[in-house]
Amino acid sequence: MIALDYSQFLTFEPQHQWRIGIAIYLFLGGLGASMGFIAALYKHIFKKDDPSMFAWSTLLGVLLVNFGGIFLILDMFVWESFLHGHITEIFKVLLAFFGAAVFNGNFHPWIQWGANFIALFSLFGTLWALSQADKAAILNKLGFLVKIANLLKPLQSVWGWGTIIFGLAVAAYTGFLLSVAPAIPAWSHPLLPVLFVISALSTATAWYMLWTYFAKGKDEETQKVREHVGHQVEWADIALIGLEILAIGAYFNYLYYAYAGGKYVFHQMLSDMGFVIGFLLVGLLIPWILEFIAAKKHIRILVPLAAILVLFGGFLLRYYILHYGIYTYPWPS
Amino acid sequence: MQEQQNKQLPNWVFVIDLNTCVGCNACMAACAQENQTPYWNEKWRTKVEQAEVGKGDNIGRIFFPRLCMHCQNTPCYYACPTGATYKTPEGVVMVNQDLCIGCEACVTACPYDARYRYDYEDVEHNKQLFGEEFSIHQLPHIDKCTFCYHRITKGLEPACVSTCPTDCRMWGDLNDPNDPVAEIVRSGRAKPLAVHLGTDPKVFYVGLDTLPAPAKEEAE
Repeated sequence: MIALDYSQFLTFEPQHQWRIGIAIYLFLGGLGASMGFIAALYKHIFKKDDPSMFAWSTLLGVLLVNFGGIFLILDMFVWESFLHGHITEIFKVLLAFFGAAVFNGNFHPWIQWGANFIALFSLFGTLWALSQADKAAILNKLGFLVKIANLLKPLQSVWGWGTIIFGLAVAAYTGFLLSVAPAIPAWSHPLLPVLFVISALSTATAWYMLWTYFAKGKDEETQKVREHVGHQVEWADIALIGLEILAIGAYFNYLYYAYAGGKYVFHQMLSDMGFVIGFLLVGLLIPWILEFIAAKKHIRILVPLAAILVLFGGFLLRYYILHYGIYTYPWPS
Repeated sequence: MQEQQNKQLPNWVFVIDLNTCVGCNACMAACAQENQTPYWNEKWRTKVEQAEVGKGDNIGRIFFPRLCMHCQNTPCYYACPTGATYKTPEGVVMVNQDLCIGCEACVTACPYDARYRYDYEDVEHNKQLFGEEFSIHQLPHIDKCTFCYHRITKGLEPACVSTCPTDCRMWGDLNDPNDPVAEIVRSGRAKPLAVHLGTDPKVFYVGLDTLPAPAKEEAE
């Protein structure tokens, strides 16, 4: 129990349920889904074509989202059950995955929505990426993938739009998942899903900044598209980080003024040097400045450095939001 | 027809009088025995919080019993992805052990700290204590107060109510016009916790607004 500061009749207690494993899940979920979202957006809205970058990024995105999901599942009874030889536990997780609560008429659980969004994003993302396999580096060397690509190509825009919709849905879900905890001010915050979506898009643009910086196109045409995309994502990330700073400001403003528990969390978070220096400074402000200098002064070496810091900041944001998931209970302690 | 049947169901209500709780913790012991909760790991379905209030000579101690509020607008039910958390026709919030996957979404959703993880270690320990055959916790799951559903459906009071030596815990039926406990709720003397959350709890407290004087001064 923590000593009371604001009222004798409130108890502030840190949550111990969702820790670093869930932070990894939320981070990889947002990053991976946004990687697919941005790739499909470029292809189907902005009509830019770079099959290698888009197909590989989307496949990696699907992999990251599902790898992150393992951390959520391990956090449940699955790992314990496996160790104790209760394999049936895995079927119970599948029940959740396919929406068992729906049969009870309960459409509320975000975990269930998220599991279905992840499944659909994985399906559409994989099909969309494979529909470009005939033109993507390495993938086009595998004969069976080229055949699959030819089969999938007629419906490529369907797979692409599915990737856009469910990619965004997964990114938003990572915020909504936490928002159904009314006693935890840092989570039940109306801005959290927006903040997580902005941050997820920012980390994904950081990924594309890294790709466009390090990987050169196989021909002049591809390189031209890649440079164009690289330039655009740099400016997009400057805008996204600017939005994120605004959202963080609004997040703390609401936290401070909305309720006593929020005020307590506000002080706790802003007196944590890990959060202030690690996230706010190193993970948010410094990369923003670096990206701005890189874009204006054309100092290219700053691009990958800023991108790595953005990815670092994206993880820290989720880690600290979970860490400061402090319950406000209405009784004295 | 269905409406008529529902009208006949009890609308159970739990009232706690803060003025009469002496902090003996008999309720916790009775609950732990009745519901085989893992007291050895400090996990309880009901708990009595204690707090020292005031300063110097003007000091006092208050006891604050708490349990699942069996909210009618139920955050834990909305968070459960498998349907493991469900409500009985009378509105009692329960957990189906077979369906619980331990995601703990309900634990984080509960604004009253009413849920905890009954893990493998607890299950094994409980089986050793009560015997495999008599253990009511066969699988790991998220555990919580059930208002002693197995007792109340037989016309008995919850274990904590029947054991409370000061009658601080009271049990009634809002649908019974002659129920004295329900009358306390109807009179407005008993109030629920954290009304602003809109959870509409079925547990009410008497004395929330008559806290000891030193505590009141502190709060102000």
